[in-house]
Amino acid sequence: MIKFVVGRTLMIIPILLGVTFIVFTILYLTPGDPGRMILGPQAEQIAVDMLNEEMGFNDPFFTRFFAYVINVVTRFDFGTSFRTRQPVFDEILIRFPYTLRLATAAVVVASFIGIPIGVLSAVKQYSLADLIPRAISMFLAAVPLFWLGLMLILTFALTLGWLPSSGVATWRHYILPVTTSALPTAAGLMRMTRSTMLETIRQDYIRTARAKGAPEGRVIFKHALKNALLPVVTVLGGSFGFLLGGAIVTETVFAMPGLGTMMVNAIRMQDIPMVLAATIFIATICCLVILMVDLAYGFIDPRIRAKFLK
Amino acid sequence: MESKRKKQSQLREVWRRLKKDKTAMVGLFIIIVFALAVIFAEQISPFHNAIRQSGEHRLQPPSADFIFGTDAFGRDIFTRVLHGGRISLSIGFVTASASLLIGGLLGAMAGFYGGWGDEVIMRIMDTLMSIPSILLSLAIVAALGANMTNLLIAITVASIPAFTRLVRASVLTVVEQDFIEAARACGTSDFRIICKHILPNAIGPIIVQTTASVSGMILAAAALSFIGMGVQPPQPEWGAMLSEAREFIRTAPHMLVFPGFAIILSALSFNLIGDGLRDALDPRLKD
Amino acid sequence: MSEKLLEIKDLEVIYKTDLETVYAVNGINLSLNRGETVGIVGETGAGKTTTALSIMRLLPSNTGVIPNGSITFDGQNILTLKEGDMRAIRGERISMIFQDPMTSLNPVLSVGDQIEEALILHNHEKRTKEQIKMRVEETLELVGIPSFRKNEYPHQFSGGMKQRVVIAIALACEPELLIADEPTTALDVTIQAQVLAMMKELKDKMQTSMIMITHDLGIVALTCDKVAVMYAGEIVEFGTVEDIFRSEKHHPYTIGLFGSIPNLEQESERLDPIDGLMPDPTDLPAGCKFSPRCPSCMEICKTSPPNDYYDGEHRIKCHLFNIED
Repeated sequence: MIKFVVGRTLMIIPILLGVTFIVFTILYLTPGDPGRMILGPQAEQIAVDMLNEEMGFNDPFFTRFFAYVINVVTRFDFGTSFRTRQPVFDEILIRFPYTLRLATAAVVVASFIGIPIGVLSAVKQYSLADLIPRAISMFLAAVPLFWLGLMLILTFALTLGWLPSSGVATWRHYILPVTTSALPTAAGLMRMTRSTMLETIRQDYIRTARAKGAPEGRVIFKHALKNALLPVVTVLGGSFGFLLGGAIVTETVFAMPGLGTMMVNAIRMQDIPMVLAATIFIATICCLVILMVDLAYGFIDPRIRAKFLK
Repeated sequence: MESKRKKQSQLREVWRRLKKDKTAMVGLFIIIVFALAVIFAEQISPFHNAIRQSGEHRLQPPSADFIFGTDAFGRDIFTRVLHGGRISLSIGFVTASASLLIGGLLGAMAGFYGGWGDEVIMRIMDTLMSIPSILLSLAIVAALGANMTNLLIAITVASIPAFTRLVRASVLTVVEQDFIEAARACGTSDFRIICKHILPNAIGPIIVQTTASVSGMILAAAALSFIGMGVQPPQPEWGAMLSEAREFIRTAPHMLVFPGFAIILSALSFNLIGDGLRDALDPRLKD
Repeated sequence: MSEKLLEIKDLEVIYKTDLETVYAVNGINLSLNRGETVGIVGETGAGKTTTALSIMRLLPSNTGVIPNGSITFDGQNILTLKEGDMRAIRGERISMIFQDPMTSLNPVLSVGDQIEEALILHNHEKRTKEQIKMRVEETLELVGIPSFRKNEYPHQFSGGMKQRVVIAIALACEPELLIADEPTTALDVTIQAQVLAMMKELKDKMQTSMIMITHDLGIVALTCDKVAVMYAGEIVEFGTVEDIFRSEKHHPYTIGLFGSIPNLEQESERLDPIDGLMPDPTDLPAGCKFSPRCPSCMEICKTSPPNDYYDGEHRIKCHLFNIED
C-alpha cells in the first residue's frame, strides 16, 4: 500500500517539472524588456541594462529555467513581481484562499446536485425525471459561465435584491459565484453519472443481486452505485481543475479578489513573474487534487487496491 | 471502387439515422440558419452599422428600428451580433479544424508507430492536459498579446491534447485488428495503410469529438474575450460584447440577452449534432 | 405438499421495443416435480434463458412482456404475485445460477458479503450475525472453497471458483428450485465436470428441484431426469431422458441435434448439422416453426402449426406423428 502511495506520488514530479517548463517557455516568448517593465518608461537605459544583468534576465534560457526551478523548490521563491517588487508567492498566498473556497464549494455543490440527479435520471430512464434534467444539462453545457453569472446577478441581486452581486465579505457573497461555477459542472457530472449508472444497471451482477431477492433500492444503492461512481470519482478531480480555471472568469464577473482576478490584472500589467507563478501554482494544485483522487480511487476499488498489495 | 461504394452507403445509413434524431436536426437547422446569416451578413446589414456610433440612440431597448436594441455607443446590436457571429463561428471552426489537424497527426503517428515517439508525444500531451485549458490559453495570450490571431493559437494549443489522445486511441484499436496485420503482410505501405484502412475505421469518434468541440471552442473564445484577453473592441465579438454589456446590466439588460443567446444557441446546436452523430455512427451506444 | 412444484402453462413472452416485437417464447407447457431435474436444451436464441427469467420474474422491465400463460409454483401463480411477495421467493425458494461467472459477481463487494446478502434478505430463522457468518463459511466450504477466502474479491478467483461462488449464493438459502442457466458453458472442460458433479451432489443432498438449461446433450444425459427440447420459443419434444435418448420416435429437430454431435460408437464420415438458421424471432413462420429447415417437411407443416403428439409422458410437436394416428 505504501508502495502504491509513494509510487503514485512520485509520478507527479515529472509532470510538475513539465508543466513548469511549458509555462516558463510560453512566457519566455513574451516580447519586451523585463528591466524596462520594472523601472518604467522614464528610467535610463543604463539602469535598465544593469537591472537586467543583476536579475539574470540576460542569462541563457536553460540557466534561467533551472535557476527558477531551484528557487521554487528550495525556497518557494516564485520570483518577484515587476509591479510591486514583492515576492509573488506572498501575493498568491493572500489571494488563493478565495479561489480555493470558491472552487471547493462549487465542486461540493455540483456533486450534491449532479450525482443524485444523474442516478435518478438513469433509474427512471425515459421518464420526466430523466428528460427534464437531461434537457437542463444540455442547456447548461452550452451556457457561458460568465453569462450565467451575469444573469444570476441581474435576477437575484439587481431585480430581487436577495443577494449581494460582488465582493467576498460574508458567506452570502459566495452564493451567486458558487452557483455560477457549480451549475455547469453539476450538469457534466449528471450526464456522466447517468451514463455510467445506465451501463452498470445492465450488468450481470445487478441481475444476480435481483435474483437474490434484493429490493430495488438495495440493488441501486448497494450494488450499482459504488460501481457507477468509480469512474465519476476520477472525473471529480478533473472537474476541480476545470473549476479552478473557471474561477478566473467567475471571479472577474463577481469582482472577487482571488487568484483569477489577480492573474487577469497581472496580464494587463505585463507582470510576467506573477502570471508564471499563478499558472504553475494552479496547475500544481490541480495535479495534487488529481493525485488525491487517484489515491482515494485505489482505496475504494478492490481491484486496484489488490494490484498494489501484492 | 467497391470500397468507395460501400463507404457511400455507410454514410447514407448514418445520415438516415441522423435524420430520425429530431434534436440533432434542430441543431443542424439552427447552425445552417446561423451560417447563412453570417455568410450574408454584409447583405443583411452592412458592417459599418456595427461600428457606427450614434449619440442620440444610446442604450435603446429593442424596437422596430433596432430589433435587438442599441449599445452604449448607439451601435445597432443586431448588426453587431450578426458580424460578431462571423468572428465567433470562424474561431470555432478554425480552432476545431486546426486542433484536429495537428492533434490528429500527432495522435496518428503516436498510435501507428508507437515506441519512443509515442512515449514523448503522449508525455507532452499529459503535461499539457494537467494545466486547466483556460489557464493555458490565458498564459499563451499573456505571452503573445491579446488579439484575434493569438486567441486562435491559444485555444488551438489548449485543445490539441484531447484530439491527440482521441486519435491515438482510435488508431490503436484499429491497428491491433487482424486486417491491418493482413495488409502489412501483403506489403502495403504505411501511408496506404493509414489512409485506406485506419482512418476510415477510426473516423467515427473523431467526427463526433470535432463537432462537439466546436461548441467548447466558441465558449472558450467568448470567455477569453469577456475577460479582455481575446478579440479587442471595437470588433463585435460575442464575448467582448457581453463584456461591454456588463457595465450597463442595470440600465440596459437587453445588451446581455442577444449576444448571450447567440452563444448558447450555437454551442447548444453543435452539442446536439455531436450527440446525434454519436448515436447515428454507433447505434449500440444509444441509451 | 403437492408433488408438483412448478407448472408452466401456455407461457408466452415477447420483447417489445419501438422498432420491433420479438416473439421469444410461444406457448410452452412444462411441469416439474419435487426433487426432479428437467433439462431444457436448444440452440442460442431458442428462448431457454427467457423462460428461466420469466420464472424468476426478472425479464427486462422496459421490454419484456408476458401476454399469456401462467407459472404456478407450489400452488401459486407467481405471475400475478406482488413484486414484494415475489422478492420473498426469489433467492430463497427459487434461485438462479447465471451463465457467465466472470460478470455475475459484483466486483466491489467481497464474495462473503455477496453470499451473506441472500441470507440477510431472507432471514426467517432470525439468525444472529454470528450464525449468518457461520452459514456463509459453511456454504463456501460446501462448494469447495476454503472459508478463509470469504473476504476476498471476485477478481481474486479463477473462473471455476467464481462459478462456485455463484452457486454458493444460489444455494445459501437452500432453495426448493434451482435454475441453472448454462452453468458451465464459460468454463474449461475439466472444470465443467467438477462443477457439474458438485452441483449434482449438492442438489441430491438438499433435495432441490432443478432446471438445467444447456445446449450440451452430454450434460443432459448426466444430470437430468426429464428433457425439454426448445426451438424458436416452443417445446418441440418433451420426455424422460430415456425417451429422448432411447426412443424411436423423435421430432426431426431432436434428430438434428443429435446429428450435430460426434458419436464415438458409430463411425461416420462427417457431422450432420442442421441446415439453415433459426427463424427470425420477429417474423416467425406461419406453420411449424421448424418447417423451413426440416428434412421431412410436408405441405401441412408450412401452413398449420402442429399439435402435441403424446406417447405416455413423451410428447412431440410434429405433424409426422399426428398423421399416422
